[in-house]
Amino acid sequence: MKLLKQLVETYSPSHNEAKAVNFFIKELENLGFNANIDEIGNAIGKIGNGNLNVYLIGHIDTVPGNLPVILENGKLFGRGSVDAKGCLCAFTEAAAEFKESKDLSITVIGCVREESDSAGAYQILKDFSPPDFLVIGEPSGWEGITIGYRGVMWLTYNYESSRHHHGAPEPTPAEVGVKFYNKILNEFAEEYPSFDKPSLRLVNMNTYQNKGNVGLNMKIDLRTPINFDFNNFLDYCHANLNGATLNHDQPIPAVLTNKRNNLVSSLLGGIRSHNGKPKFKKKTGSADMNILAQWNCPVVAYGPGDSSLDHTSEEHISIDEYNKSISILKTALRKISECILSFF
Amino acid sequence: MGECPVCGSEIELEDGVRENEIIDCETCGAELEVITLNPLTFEEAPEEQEDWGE
Repeated sequence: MKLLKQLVETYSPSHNEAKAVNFFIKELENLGFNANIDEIGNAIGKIGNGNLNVYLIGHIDTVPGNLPVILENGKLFGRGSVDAKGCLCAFTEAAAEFKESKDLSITVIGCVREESDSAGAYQILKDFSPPDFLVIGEPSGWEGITIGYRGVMWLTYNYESSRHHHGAPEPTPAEVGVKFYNKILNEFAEEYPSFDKPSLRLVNMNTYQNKGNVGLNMKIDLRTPINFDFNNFLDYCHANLNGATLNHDQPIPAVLTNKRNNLVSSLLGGIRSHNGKPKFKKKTGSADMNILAQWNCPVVAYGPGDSSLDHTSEEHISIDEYNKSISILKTALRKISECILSFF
Repeated sequence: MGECPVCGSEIELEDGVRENEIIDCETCGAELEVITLNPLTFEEAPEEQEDWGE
């Protein structure tokens, strides 16, 4: 709990994580981890001496917007308390118990830039071999196990034309942009976000003047279900640009993990041993799990906290839930270590 | 032998199945969780909920 409070007090919005990473590395070392910072700034701690590799990968950055850190009525308020320093600290406190393990080697990682471009996760994907089991630190609630996230692609639209009198028939750039957005919205998206359907969000739109021209920039957030055809979507967009330009980030596909493995059974067992009623969760958002699922190992996301508080000014975590999740993770890790005979 | 809580048919597990593993009933296709091995008992697997979250 002290670790979590101190880490939340160390404000670390994306791209400004160094102070929190340095603090976290010292705490990892104090708990017996071999700790280091990689070239992009991720905090990495290794503990245990076994042949079974478990990665517990959270993120140390938060969305911008610092909040007062207040411990009140069994709740810790503050930016990142839920998303997702609670998960990262729970991973750390649980893994610390396995310092002497001859079965497990546990790597706890606090990634940077999860809330921006996931550069920290891409660095881990490049530098590390696939583990035997992977848990991503995102709030699922202490009884929840997240098995899926939708995919995502960010688009940037620009349209510029010469200025016309408003009495003329030519549409304004704003009208052209709105028409384009509504076209792809009607063709591809559902009004209400759901895991099995694509959805679109118009994140922002800004008009501007450029010498004699007027223009429009729009940022669009596309969320996608499993097996969404990004190329088909982009082909449709390009066929309807009418002189506009469209750029996009690398598409990140949706992930839906297999439930029939020892990772899922160990977490289910951990939750049930604490009298919990387990639930599987499929998230309509996206996370570093989408990227790290490329390892094709058993993977879920787990961690304390209510994800509806992510990014809000009311962000807080229940200390009781935080402690319960640590205990469940310890039980799950013990159960994972028991399955070593089936591996070697 | 255990009994499927959905259709009542008998289920026999392969060797090596652990407590809390998710299996399918071969008769009705229900997704089940192994609750105890001795005696062999099952429950319907936890439900899948949709949730907001990044």
